[in-house]
Amino acid sequence: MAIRQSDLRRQLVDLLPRLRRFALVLTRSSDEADDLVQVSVTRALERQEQWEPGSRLDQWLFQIVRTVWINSRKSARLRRTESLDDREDTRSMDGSAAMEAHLRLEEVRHAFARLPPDQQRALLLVSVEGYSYKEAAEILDLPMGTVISRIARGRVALAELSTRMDDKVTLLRRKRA
Amino acid sequence: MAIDDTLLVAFADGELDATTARLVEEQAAADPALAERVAMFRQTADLLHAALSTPDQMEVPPALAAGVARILAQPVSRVVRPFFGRRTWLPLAAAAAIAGFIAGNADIGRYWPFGGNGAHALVAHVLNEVADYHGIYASEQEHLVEVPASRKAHLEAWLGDRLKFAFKVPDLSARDLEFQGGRLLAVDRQPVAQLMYRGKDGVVVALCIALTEADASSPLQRRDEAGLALYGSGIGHHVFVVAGSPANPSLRALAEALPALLKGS
Repeated sequence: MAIRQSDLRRQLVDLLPRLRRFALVLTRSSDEADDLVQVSVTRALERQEQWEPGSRLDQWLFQIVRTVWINSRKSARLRRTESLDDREDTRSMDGSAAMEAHLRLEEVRHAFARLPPDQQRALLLVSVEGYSYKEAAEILDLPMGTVISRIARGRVALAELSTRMDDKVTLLRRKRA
Repeated sequence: MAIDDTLLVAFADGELDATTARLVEEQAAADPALAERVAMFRQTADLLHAALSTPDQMEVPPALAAGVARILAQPVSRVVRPFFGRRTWLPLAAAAAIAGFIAGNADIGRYWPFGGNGAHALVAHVLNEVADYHGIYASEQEHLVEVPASRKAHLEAWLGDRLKFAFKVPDLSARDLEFQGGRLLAVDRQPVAQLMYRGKDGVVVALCIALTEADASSPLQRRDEAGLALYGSGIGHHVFVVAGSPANPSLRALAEALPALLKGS
């Protein structure tokens, strides 16, 4: 049973920002992320009858993005050129508070970019996209225990990498050392 | 129970069952180091969500948006157009909808867009489909239309024949709209003529005439779809649609006058 087609197309467009963000984490390259999203959208349209109404369309699409990415890597068609933290940020910054908030988030992004890719993927799905551990495990085709482990290690590493994070983090690091 | 980071992060993320969560909560309450670690896990989640959800992080580059729009408009089926002896492609949405209609009687009620809602619903359905088309084609610069305005007489004859509706392309220059040309579309296996105009501000306005199997007679209705305003009404087995910017105050008047304008009145 298929979703109403115009609805599917509309929802695909609505989900583009999230799909691209996920693709960016997978590929670590803007150009490759854009290519990946377009190929994934094509794949989704080709296989739309496989999506089951009542299930989450976004989760199904994330799985497609990941599958396309895996296949692309196998065929060595995707390049690795631009790291997430190499992306130019051209936003204007007004006021010290906004500057402070901006810098803080920028540091978090840089810290995130330095995490191992497997941790980035798990963190993006759970901590940013809001998927449950089980859903993230399904998208990544991994055992749930592996996902939880990556999330825990990623969050610890993120706290340690982000130099401007709360003093509590520094304290924790000392305690663990 | 041994408390490790996987248990703490699962607790911070609300992933534990109630019993285990209560145990972790009790231990964290008695151990400041554990409590701090839970706080750290929560803080990193919040910060990460905030850092990767800023507008620049959610940006879709125009090239990507355009690429996806092209993909969504890709033809997968066709409508035979013997008038030219070549194929006119039926966009994906309509084709897949047809597949849905055909696939099993048990599902027809689910897919059938008009059942029980009458002509008003039929016009609303056409407006939805036109909104999809317009969103894709109106952003095109070089390929805004399939048949250019220079072939206006041909468009009138060809589309009039397909629609079983003789019409004249309205001259809307008095409304600051210049005719660009047109194309044939399809909704539910029925032809739709799309006549495209461009205003002095560059914004595209589309006039559409859709042939329907059922009687579509119903008064003018408006729909708003993602930055697009659409007006449509039905007369007999034809639906007349005007699509354009919601900021255009003359769309409604144009829609009200459309049937008469198409008749050259």
